[in-house]
Amino acid sequence: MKRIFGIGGAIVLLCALFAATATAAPRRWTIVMPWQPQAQFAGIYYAKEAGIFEKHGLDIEIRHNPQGAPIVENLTSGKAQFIVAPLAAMLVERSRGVPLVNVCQVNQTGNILLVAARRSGIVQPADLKKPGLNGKPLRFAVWDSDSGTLPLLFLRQQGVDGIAASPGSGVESFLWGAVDVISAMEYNEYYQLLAAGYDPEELTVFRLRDHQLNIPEDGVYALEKTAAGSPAVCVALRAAVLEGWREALRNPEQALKFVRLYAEREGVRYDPAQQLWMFNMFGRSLGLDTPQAGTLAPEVCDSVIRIFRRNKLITGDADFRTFCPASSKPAGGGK
Amino acid sequence: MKPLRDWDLSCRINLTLLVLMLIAGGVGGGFLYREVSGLLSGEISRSAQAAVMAAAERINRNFPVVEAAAQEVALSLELLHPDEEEQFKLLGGSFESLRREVPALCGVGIARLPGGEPGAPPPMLYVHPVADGKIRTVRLANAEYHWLESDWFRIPQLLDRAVWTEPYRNPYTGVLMCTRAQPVRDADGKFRGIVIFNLSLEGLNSEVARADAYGYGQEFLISRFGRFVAFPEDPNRTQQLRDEAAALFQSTIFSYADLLRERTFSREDASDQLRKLGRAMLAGESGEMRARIFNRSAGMERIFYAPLSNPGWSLGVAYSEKLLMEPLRTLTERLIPIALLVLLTGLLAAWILVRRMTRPLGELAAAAQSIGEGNFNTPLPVAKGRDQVGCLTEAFHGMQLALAEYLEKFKTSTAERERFEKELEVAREIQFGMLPETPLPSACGFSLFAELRPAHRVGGDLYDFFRLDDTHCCFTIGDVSGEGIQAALFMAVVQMLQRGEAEKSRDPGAIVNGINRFLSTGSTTRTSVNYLLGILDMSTGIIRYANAGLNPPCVRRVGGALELLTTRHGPALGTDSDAQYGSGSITLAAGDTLVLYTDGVTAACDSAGKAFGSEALLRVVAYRPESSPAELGEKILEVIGHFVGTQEQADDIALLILRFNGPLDKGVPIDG
Repeated sequence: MKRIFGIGGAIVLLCALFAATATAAPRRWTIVMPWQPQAQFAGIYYAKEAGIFEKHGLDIEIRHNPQGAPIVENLTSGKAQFIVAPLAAMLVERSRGVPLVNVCQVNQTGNILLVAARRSGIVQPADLKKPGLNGKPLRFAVWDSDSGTLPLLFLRQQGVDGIAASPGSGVESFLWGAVDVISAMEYNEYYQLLAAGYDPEELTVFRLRDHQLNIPEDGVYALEKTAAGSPAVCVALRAAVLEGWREALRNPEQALKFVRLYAEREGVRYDPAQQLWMFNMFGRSLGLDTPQAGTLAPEVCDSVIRIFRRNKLITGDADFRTFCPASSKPAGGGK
Repeated sequence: MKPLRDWDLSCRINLTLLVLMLIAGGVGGGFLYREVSGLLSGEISRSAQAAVMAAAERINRNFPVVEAAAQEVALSLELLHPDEEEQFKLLGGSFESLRREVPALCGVGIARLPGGEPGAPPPMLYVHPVADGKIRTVRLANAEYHWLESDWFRIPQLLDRAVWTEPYRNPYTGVLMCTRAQPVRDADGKFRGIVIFNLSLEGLNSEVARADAYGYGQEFLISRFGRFVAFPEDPNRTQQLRDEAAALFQSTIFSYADLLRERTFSREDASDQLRKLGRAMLAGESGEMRARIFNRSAGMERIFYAPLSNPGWSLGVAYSEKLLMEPLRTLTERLIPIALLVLLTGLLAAWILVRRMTRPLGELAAAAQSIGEGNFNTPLPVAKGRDQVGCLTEAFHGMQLALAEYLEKFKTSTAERERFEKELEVAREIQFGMLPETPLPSACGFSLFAELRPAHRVGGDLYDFFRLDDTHCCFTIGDVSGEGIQAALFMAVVQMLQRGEAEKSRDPGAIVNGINRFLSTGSTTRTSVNYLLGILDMSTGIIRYANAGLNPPCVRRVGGALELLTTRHGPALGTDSDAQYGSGSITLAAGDTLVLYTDGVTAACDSAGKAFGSEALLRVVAYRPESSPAELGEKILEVIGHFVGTQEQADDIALLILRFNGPLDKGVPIDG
């Protein structure tokens, strides 16, 4: 009998040990980038490849959202626990009832531009509502993705209404002369124009941040339940992302190697000069040396909500406290 | 180190030749190099440009064919409105007919806008080759292939015209290709869809490589917006470029330019040049640019480019300038040793020639030095030939003989001259021996100073005085024309004659007549004598005298008054045998002084050629009236000496001063 108890005890002990080991293994978290690999996400790649996530006790898997698919679906479907997405679009989603929260605000200044060829006669915002030099209405190409919200808002503020978002980046259409004005990220599409032979002085650039629309873009978002259930993970993720960017900016060559690695894995085009430009430009908008690093300032959030409500982009609930529950606790990495 | 002018002549000539040859070689070589380099460069430009244009034309050839086929299919669709099966037949037929002419054709298709029935657009129909030369037909829904968002669909739709797209990768096969996108319109002219003809660009490298005229260029084909379409392998690539070659297809010529700017090893001007090149190429220009872009370690490159007019692309070839100019460098490297050999041979020949020329000169110089040391018989080098050195040797030989002869003559003449000098000295002693001694014995009633200073060793002037009896004393002074021996001999004759004639008569005129007759008849020369003879009666102080052409004598009376005896009693002796000389007289009181002198006194000249003159003489005579004859004589000679200075004495000087001391019986003391 004793023997039976002895064997049974050993089995129970082994099962207990196994259960303990199983519960102690860190959980794998998935974060989804909004589109294909590029230097815009260099800090996150760096955190992953250089072991910074691990250092913060995180097991992170990085994925990229397929072109055209809504990024938020990754959270709502449970495919991922975190996404990287633009602030404006996420506020809109929040107001529509998607229970997402800002876990980390990656960059602090807006990079969105509207670009026109100077030869088309457009030199100031007021020219955007006038006909082109040929007498015909100007043709616009604005992203139909999440980033298109702000350029369309800017155009509306300039009195240009009824512009439909169009698929693709618009760069090719602009180069062919099929459109007169395109939306562009300063770190991305704008450089593509320069890389196609345009000189900066041949382009008229409207930086939205110079027109009361300095709204930062990339942030890390999660569902409320994730943030509430694993607050330590959210804090660690924010700290790891910021540290990843800091290290990346300190070691740009290595950071770009990681970007290239991800681009090759996904089979996307990797133009070294373009990625270097993107890395430098995006890195400049992070504000890592400000106390605000990694967090969304309440006044910025409130200001965006105000603007969006005024323009009827937001109709439902949205406020800073529910949108950024963790922002009152700055990340340890912030300096 | 010795200064250059002291170097051996042959060394100086050779050094000069070397410098001149080096300068001439450098200038000539440089000019030649420049000319040849220019010619070669021009030829390279022509060949390379022709090759790149020909290759561009060859590559471009396929595009119009495809354009026409696409247009034909689009037109068929617009006019015939075929059903799906017929559309596949149309696409398949067009593909089959074109694939032989355009092997790069990798698919044709039709994509439409939604229309007609509501909902999704009709499927995209596509025909492409598979293995064994067969073709496959495919139906694709927009959900599978989002053509409505594709650039090849949207750009021609927005532009409403056919375009060649930028190169892109086929999303299914990964093949790099470009598409001819031809809009299809409905009966109202509204855009309905796109006919596509896809061309694979994978095989383009070999075509592009044919743009290389020399086999070591780096060819590159860029698209309408600067993307690298082709970048064939080039054995001369640097490792850096080899590593980058694959990535270049991800870049544009402008982003590559930025990459060059970012690289630490690159230079900013390379980036600017590449950007400038890209702009020129995209503008459809053809031409050439010198820049440092691809093959960076090899220095400058020359890039030739030409457009592909149909797709709006541009083809370029970059050659390393170093490799292009390699033939010239090889030629130069071969020519330099030859030129050096020619230079050395020339220098050696010059050295030998110069040595041959200068050796006789050296021997001549040594012989001249020996001759200069008195060895007049030193043998001279034998002249070989009649060149300048030969002539110089011969002339030197003649000079040597002439010099020896001259020196012999010089010795002889020197001996003769020494003998003559000795004889002259004897003559001088004799001449001075003929002069009376002064002073006269104290018994005389007068004091006398006499001085004769010949201009040369012997002279023609004379003076004399001698007693005729107890109360009479004769004195003479004369100046023989001419100088030297002849005049001295003539003077001696006069000296002897006057004493002889004075024995015969106490009349000065008669005495002088006697002398004149002898001189006029006995002499064959035209020598004459300015002469004065006087006889003093010592008891009375009366002087009777005859002046034959002598300067007027001067009488200084006691108290200082001067009196000139200007009367001349005839011409100079020896000039007229018939001349009759009279005589005059003057009475001297005790203390009166008579001064007689020849031309040598008044004609003495200073350094400016001015004569002393009779007035100056009279002033000296009158200066101290109480002076004795000796004092006066010494004073006159001292003043003349000062007047003449360093000038050589030109004429003989004779001076005779006589003071009457009073009648003998009155016993005036003699101060002599």
